[in-house]
Amino acid sequence: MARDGLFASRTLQWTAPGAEWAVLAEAPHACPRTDVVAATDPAMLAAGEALFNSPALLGGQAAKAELSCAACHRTGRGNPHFLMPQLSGAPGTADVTNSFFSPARANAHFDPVPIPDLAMPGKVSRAPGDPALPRFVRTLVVEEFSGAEPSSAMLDALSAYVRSIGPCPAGAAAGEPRRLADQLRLIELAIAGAAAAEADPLLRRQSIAAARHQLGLIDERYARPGLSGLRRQLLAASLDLARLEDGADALRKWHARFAAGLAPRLERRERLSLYDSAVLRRALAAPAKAPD
Amino acid sequence: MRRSIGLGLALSMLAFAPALAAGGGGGGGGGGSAPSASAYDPTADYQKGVAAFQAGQYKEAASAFRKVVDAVPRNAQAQYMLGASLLGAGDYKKAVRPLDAAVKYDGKLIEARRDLGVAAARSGDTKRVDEQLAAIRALQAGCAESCPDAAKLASAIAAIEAAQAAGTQSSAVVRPEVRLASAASVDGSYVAAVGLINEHRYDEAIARLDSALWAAGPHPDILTYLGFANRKLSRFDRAEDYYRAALAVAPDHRGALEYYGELKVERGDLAGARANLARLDRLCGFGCYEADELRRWIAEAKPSAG
Repeated sequence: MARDGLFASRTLQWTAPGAEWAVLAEAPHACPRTDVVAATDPAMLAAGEALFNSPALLGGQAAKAELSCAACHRTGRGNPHFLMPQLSGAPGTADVTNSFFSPARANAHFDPVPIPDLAMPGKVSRAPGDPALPRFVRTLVVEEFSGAEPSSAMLDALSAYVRSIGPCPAGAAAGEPRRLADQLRLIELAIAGAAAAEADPLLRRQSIAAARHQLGLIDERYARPGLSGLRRQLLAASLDLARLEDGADALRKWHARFAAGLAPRLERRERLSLYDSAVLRRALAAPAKAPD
Repeated sequence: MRRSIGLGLALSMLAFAPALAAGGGGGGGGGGSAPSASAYDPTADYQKGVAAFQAGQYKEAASAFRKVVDAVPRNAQAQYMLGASLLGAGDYKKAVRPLDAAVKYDGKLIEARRDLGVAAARSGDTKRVDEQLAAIRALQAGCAESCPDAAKLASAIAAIEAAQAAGTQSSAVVRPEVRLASAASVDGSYVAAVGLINEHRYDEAIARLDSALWAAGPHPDILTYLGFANRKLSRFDRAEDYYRAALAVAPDHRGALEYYGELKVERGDLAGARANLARLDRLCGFGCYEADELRRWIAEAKPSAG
């Protein structure tokens, strides 16, 4: 959790030195494929995007480092700034067959590969209904990153989201500022995914974990002195979410309370938070405080 | 602001996670745990000490290692390095106490027994000399001539006997013989060790982690995985020592709390495991893998624990 005065961002642990601003201030523009979005169950798509952004989906070292799919594929695209010592070559590469992450696909060679942009066609068919994509996603989660076995609904949701990732038209802005709204949107998607997952307790649990993670990311950005009250409310909201009873109603009521109460309070103070470019720039310019 | 496994990626390591100042004040904590504002990083002083020791600046080295020892007095490596530095500086009497502590916390640390014997010989403390010679001979007897430490044990006995022969009046300078991996190799050793653990090659992982521990100092990630690898080899007491050492350095270390809790489950101490979980839940207000994993262990243990 954030503490007064310091921005302790996990993201920096897999960000190349010098790229802090690029990663913390901006995100690649998302250009979803409108045909896929129109043809897909919105709750499934919501759950998929929420899970894609949640470290709870993965296991082992990735989960401990709080890496999600989105750590490498920001907004579903690539991440030219991704760098983990001993596990990356140049920035933007990763050795995903290193036994550090999982022994299942370890090959005993240091062979980092460029992180692909998921908006580009890949080696696996993304045709609607083709089981190749959910099978491939399962392999990534379980074998490459030691995650627990996902349910079929989780795999369908993740596949739906991956199918929806599209390239941006020529001339479109490459990136956009990162905002509180990014996290609020992902919380909304996670709750929608959880609420629609009554028949799948695992998907519900994972979606709730995804929402709590986003609350934690907001907490990181509200590290400034004077925002501790909001941080306490974020923590309380997270703990409420963890204790919710079964059923969609409880989830919807939680989100209604959040959207009407804490979310606008956060929005009113966003200019004081590390979402604000001036505040972030000052934080990045300040030398990191060494331990006493 | 960062860039090493030990101080950056560091997975479960939170106390020294990168943090940017955002208006002054406290300590960082990433997505889960918030260390105390005055979190002290003993690895920084340890590495200062190693650099000074390798440059032959033994007084400076002793000064740095003393800070480490003050913070983590049960760390055998740091106690040994303090003693070896004092030995190098010619302060034989002062070297005895930390070397005594080093052998107390790690009775198999041959270098510490050797240098304690040498320091005692130079100080005229024949009782300690005899104790260390006896202890090393006992290790030798249990080791047989072909074991990996055979040459080191024989050399330790020779060094003590030479110091004994030289006596307290000798003016010959004692140069402690310590081989330390470079700090730059720590990241590689750590990543390789975790990979070896994932492949269930625990003895090899321990060797890598030991090397990293000597180079980096008492880093809680390294101590935690030493605990984990020893636990998987059913060396529960040793594993517990490592987990406790990690938590002494970083009381909010999520990985150490999780794995120590799992050890408690394995020992049937469900109440203790639940206490670790309660602490993790307090640290992980926004959820974390370590708490989820320990919760699963406790849930799966419940039926058989009755």
